[in-house]
Amino acid sequence: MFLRLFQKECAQVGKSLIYWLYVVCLVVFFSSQMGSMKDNMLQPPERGQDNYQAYGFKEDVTEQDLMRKALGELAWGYYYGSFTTYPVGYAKDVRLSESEQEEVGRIINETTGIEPDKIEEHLAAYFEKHDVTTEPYLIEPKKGLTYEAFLNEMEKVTDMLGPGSSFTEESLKSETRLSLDYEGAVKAYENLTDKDGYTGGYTRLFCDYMGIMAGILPIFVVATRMLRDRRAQMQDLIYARRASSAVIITSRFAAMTVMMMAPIIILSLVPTVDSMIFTKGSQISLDYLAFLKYDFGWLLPTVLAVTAVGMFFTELTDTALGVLVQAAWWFISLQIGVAGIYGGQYGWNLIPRHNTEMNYSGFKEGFTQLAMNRAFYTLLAAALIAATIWIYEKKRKGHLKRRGKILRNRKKPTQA
Amino acid sequence: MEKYCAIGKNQLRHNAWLHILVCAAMLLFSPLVLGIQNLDQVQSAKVLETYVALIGIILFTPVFLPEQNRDLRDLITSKYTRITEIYCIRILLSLTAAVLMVATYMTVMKSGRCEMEFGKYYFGTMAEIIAFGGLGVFAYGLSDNLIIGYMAPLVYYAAAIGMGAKYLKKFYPFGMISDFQTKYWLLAAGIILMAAGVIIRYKKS
Repeated sequence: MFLRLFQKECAQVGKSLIYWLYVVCLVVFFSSQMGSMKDNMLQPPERGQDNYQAYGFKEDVTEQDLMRKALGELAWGYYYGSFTTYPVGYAKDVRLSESEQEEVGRIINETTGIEPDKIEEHLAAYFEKHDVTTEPYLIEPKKGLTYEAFLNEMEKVTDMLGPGSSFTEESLKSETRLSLDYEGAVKAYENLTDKDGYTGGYTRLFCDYMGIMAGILPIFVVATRMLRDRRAQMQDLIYARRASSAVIITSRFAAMTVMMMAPIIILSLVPTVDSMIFTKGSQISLDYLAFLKYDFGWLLPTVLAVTAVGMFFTELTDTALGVLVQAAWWFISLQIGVAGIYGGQYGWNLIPRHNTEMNYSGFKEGFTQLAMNRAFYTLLAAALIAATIWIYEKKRKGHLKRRGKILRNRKKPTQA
Repeated sequence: MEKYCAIGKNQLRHNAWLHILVCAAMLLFSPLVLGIQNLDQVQSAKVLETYVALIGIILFTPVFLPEQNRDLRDLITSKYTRITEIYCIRILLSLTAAVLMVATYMTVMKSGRCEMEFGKYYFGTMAEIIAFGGLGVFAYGLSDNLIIGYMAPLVYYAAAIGMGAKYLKKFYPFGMISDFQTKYWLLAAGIILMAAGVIIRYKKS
């Protein structure tokens, strides 16, 4: 029964206009972002190059570097009486109360040894020697200040500033980017070829771009499919069938996931094939199956979650509400993701970002978090599908169904 | 005139109120997550172009929603009042709501010492709202599917973020600072698309 319904659902999705629009959008987006990838693939770095930006950023940023930058930023914000935070990617101006301002002054004194009323002098002296337009304001931490004590104080600042503060350790690390030298570039390139199997880096970049689309596009296909029965006034006919609610909903969910993933898997072959062509004749040992690992490990949970959100809200309300809910979630995920766009800081974002083929060490460091993130969205999808089955079953028995609007049919059968 | 007022009143009472409410909530609660005080010109433009302009998708796209049901559509087309007039009244209502909401929002931003040239930014934001809305109305009219109506402007928005001005050229929606000429193109495209959407829908009815 399940397989028969699964095949039918696949055929239904395959025949719908919106599915092909989904495929076209994916292909166009992929072509615009990664279409010319073959021409831009990385060669080994050469000594004396103008710069090594293409190979990423310095990984061994010292704790001293982080502290200098954070303390400079803190004193700057204190002096001007305002701090900029980025809660969802947009700048937000935060002004502290008098007591909080005093507390920040105390923290500056504690961590740098500079009296709050001497900051102006320090600023003026610093920018007499440095160019204010190109160089950040840096302050040396007080002698003997440990990194842990520094982080403790920064945590207090973050509590005052609220979400999006640039004084968390993750934020400091992501914002303190130092250029690589030749040796650093060689090491980064070796990570790509030896540890990442070359294709790994490019498939990760593919996942970064496709994640943006996978976070929104499936909702349109799902909502259309779910509303189709209602529009064709076929609901009652389907309710009367022998198949259980669980089989109907899970077969539909499975079919839509498979159909949604199919073009993504096909497109993910492109970076692999490009890598094969580009590295032909070299000694690089490619990871030929990287695309499968990343498609299923990275992108599938996003598709599962979006599909489940679409099914749940459409079944619940019989309207296109799921589209608006998912659009809002996608928008927020996208804005939040900007802070960790270079990879390594995946957090709990629906759309984890890693907008580079490099930064293997960041990926490795953040891997556990990424795995937990992906597992969470898979479980969330399962929970939403279970809830969808429950709602469907209730409607089928006539409890929640009245022009598709839930909770309207409150009358008991005897009252009716 | 009385007839048109009655149509407008009914649209507000039965359909538009929900979309206006969603947009108002979107703008009202925005200070919780984004700053609308002490922003420089670039940051102000970013808030208006990438956030406020999204109300165009919510306000304009569902213009044909009340006649989603085919039987209802047949009934309305059989009446003396032309269905295109009803669509135009709905669009005007959405436009009025957008005009008022953006003006209020920008006034709040201005009083919060955000840097911006009020008239220029207002025009730019409205042009983008009409472009998003026009695309939604056109896609809905063409496909007779509200979800495709939402999909078109959202994909356009995503494409603008991903591809940037390099691919979208004169139709890049976030050009307030980089190329203000785009706003005239967007406005023209929005109006044409909206008109085309209504005509297509009328022909299909």
